[in-house]
Amino acid sequence: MRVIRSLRARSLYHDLPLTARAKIVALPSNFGDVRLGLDEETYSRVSSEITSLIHCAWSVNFNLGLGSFETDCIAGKKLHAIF
Amino acid sequence: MAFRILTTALLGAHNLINLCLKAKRPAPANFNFCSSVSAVAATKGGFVPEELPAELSYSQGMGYARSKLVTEHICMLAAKKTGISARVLRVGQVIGDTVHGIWNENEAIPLMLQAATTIGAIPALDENPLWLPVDTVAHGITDISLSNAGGGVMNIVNHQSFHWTRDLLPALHATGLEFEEVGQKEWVDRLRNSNPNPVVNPPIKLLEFFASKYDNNNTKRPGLTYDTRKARSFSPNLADAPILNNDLVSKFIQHWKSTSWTANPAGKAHVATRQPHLVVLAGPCGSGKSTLAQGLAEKFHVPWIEGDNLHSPASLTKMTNGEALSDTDRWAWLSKIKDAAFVQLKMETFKSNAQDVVIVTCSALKAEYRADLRKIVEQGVVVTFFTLQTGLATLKTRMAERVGHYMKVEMLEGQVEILEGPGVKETDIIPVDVGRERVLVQREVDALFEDVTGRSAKSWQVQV
Repeated sequence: MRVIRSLRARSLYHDLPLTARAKIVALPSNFGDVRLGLDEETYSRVSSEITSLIHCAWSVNFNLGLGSFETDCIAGKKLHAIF
Repeated sequence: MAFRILTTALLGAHNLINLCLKAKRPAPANFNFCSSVSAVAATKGGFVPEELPAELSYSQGMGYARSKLVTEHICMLAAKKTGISARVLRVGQVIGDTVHGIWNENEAIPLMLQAATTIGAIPALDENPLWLPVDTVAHGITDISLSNAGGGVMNIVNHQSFHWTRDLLPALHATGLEFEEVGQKEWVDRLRNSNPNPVVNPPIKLLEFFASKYDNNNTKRPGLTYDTRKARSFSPNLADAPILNNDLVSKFIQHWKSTSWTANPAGKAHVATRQPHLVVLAGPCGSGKSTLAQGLAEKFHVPWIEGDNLHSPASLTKMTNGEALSDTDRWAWLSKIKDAAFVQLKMETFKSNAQDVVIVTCSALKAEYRADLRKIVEQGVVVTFFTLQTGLATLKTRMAERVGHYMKVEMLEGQVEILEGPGVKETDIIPVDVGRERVLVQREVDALFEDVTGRSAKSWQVQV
């Protein structure tokens, strides 16, 4: 639902074809974990099929110090992978 | 301290890069890190090459910029040590998209432009921005990610600039926006002395930020020059990046005017005015319109009009005989549906506590049929379409299970043939994959129905 809401807010959802929508998979994850917070089966499937990874999630808060970015961003929060 | 931060940072990037290295293909997956020009914004000499900055001090002082620069270094180190195609994509100022002009109104630049409506002035800056529309950036990043580029740094900024005062301000005037062009210092003064209520005067929220940048006589801002040759060579979309023009500017202004820039002189918190709402469940026969409509009607206590019941007797006879309807039959039918919906909405407004929403099931297969139903907007009604989508095979199976329906399976093929998917401008459509389990579909539609109508199943139950 979060993905649908986010795409709708940007007018990107309404004309996305069924086949394209079926390719979107959102997995709650945690980059700080060696397995990115995914269960073993999911991690193994992603790692065997992945061809490209785009890391584009970051906290946009200009008042934070460098230390604050360790866990949230550099250690990571979201995974956007293209198969 | 610095070392601790670096090791923690390295750990996170390490986990992601490891994932790419584990790819069971001839080569590891490529890794594309979206960095920011703030990581190099203090570059000495005015020229930013497509490589790591010579000095760590070239980043802006804030944590955001420094964290990006640290990660840029991690990526390049990984590329060197493992041979992985790790790319640093250094993105500059991103603006609204070229199709709908959607740009977050709370960002610094949109707030500066909104000052035209709240304090009647925009500063006349001597700047040459390198803005890129968000869809161009997205296409650029995808182009590069899917390309055979090796590891390295690329600058994702526009290779053509425009002038703030000579190009942007005239484009804003051309949209009909009325404002004065004032010096930067005067602009900050005007903002400082304007209405302190951020609800009425949103630009006041960033007063401190604007003052730090513009409350001075430093008007000459030459800006940095970015090398973008590598990025453009791997991305056709970046090579063809559009330059700011009147059309794009008017899309942004239209977007803000129709969403956030609405007049709110009383300064009260935004109260959603209840506009009557027509929700159309559309899709070919067998897509499950009626089942979903019934589910919604019961859960949200909303009236539901079965479009199929409004066919003329002549049309019904045609369909029973397996004959397709003509467009004339359909226009008459759509007109009946609109009338029925409008009458129902009128009745709803008379009921106390009733939030006037009505559901209509109607195939609405072609864009022109939807356009016709959408005309009800002129009567102050908001319209949302749920288009129920699935493959022909699924529809056929469902049709075959039905008993006593006038529609013949063969006619379904005709329906699917004329079916037109949502057009780029039809943003009032929410597509739904109905090939999944019914419970999942109903749950998704329930949640989206709640989003668009603001009607909640829970509050209704409390009222009972």
